[in-house]
Amino acid sequence: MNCREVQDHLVDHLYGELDQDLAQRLQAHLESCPSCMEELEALLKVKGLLLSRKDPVPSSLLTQRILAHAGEEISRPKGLWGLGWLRAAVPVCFLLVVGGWILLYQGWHRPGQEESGPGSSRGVAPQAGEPALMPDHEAPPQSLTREEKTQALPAPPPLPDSAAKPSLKDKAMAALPSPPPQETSRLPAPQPRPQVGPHSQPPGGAEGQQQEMAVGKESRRQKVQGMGAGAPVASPPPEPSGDKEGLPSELSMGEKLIGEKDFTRAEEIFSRLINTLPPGHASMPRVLLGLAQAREGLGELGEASALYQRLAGDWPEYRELALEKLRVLEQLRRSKMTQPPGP
Amino acid sequence: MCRFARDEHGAFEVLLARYREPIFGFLYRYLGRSDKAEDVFQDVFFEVIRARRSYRAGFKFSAWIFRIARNRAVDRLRRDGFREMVSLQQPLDPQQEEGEGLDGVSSSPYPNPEETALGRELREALEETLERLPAEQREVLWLKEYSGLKIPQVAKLLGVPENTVKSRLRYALGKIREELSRRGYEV
Repeated sequence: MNCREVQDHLVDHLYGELDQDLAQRLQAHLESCPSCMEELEALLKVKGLLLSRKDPVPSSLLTQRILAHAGEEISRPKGLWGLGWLRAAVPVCFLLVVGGWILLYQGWHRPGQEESGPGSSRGVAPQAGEPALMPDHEAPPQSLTREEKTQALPAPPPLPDSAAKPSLKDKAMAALPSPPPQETSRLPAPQPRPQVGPHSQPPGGAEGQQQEMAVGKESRRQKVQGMGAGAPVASPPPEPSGDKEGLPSELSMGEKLIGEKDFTRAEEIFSRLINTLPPGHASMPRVLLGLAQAREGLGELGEASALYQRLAGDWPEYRELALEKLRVLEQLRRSKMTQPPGP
Repeated sequence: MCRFARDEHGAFEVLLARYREPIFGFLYRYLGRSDKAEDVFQDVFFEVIRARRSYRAGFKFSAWIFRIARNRAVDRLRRDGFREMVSLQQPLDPQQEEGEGLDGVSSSPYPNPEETALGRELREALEETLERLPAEQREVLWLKEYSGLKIPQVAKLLGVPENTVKSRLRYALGKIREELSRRGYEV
């Protein structure tokens, strides 16, 4: 590799994005070329300066507002394409089927239909004996001529006709009004919406309540309530009392989960705390430490390192512990790098 | 993100904890003002919430959210017409240095005891230098620094070739180095 090639790959090397083979060749060149090495060191210093800057962080008020919004959006029904749409579609489908059936039925039995031919709704009137587009048990009345039907009228109505038509209507009538009683029966007992933050809004109006009656919605909403911002972790419940220093009980729970190696839930708890605690809160170093340990446990070494670095930089009493952790992570990272790539 | 797409609120808290500082830092650098960064920051996360169900599982979340952030920041700059050249030379105003600014944005609350006058001067010189970089170099630099995305991903996000991203990064870092050297800092 010559100097020009090194210059082409210097940025990749700076950000650790060179593959192993190229990195080795570049390293070999750097060891024998002082000017390229000097260039790389200067760029590394600049990069270090950029990393050392302190940026403002969003306020906990802003993050709480966003969390509250997320809670509201999650607890809101899915809208047009969700279950509410299905609920609206069911009675409409019933209406269409029943209405269509009635129209067809009346069209076939309209006086003079058979004679009119092209004037009939089907264009060609069914001939006597022609199989009608009906179930077998409904065929006889349609195949009757008008005279036969008028003769049949005074007599007790044919069984299929009298049995089929009212039963469908009954079905329709039974189906159509059924949703409202369900709605009203459920409406008086709405679950209280979780208090997700200082900006949380009161429970939604009729629209929200109606849509919450969708199948399975209730259980989902209960789950959301359990996991909502400001609410404790759903399972297991947090310790009822805070710890001795008056710290949030969730902090103790998170630390307990770290001890139990349940890093996923621990990360959730510490994430919630870091989002909601004010930056200068006395518990912040413990939260940072817990979050770093959770991410370390989840194998996210880069993010864990960043948190340990922050801990070491900002909290002198935690510096030693954080630096020790950083050393361990660095060793881990090196051992991973030296491992041969998997198949 | 996939868990959040299934309406798990706890998953959103994890996402917010992970990305709030990188996204806010990027927006603050991009827009140059904390009040604007705050507005756009909220828009970005509202967009994430709104579009959670359309998120494709195989897509890298950091690329997705930084794409949203970058697009929203560009929109905001267009709407405002120009970037107000304030605040970056004084990155944190005195109120923020003490904790909470008027706009609700708090600076890092932990004073650095090792910060000396020289360090402060160097920081100011760095900020001035950064401010003078061409916009496209600054954009690439901030995206790379804050997003943790790899160069090909940054290139894809910006819709430019990878070599363009590399050269912009290279020029940006080189100019910072030159400028700081010119001012007498050993870099």
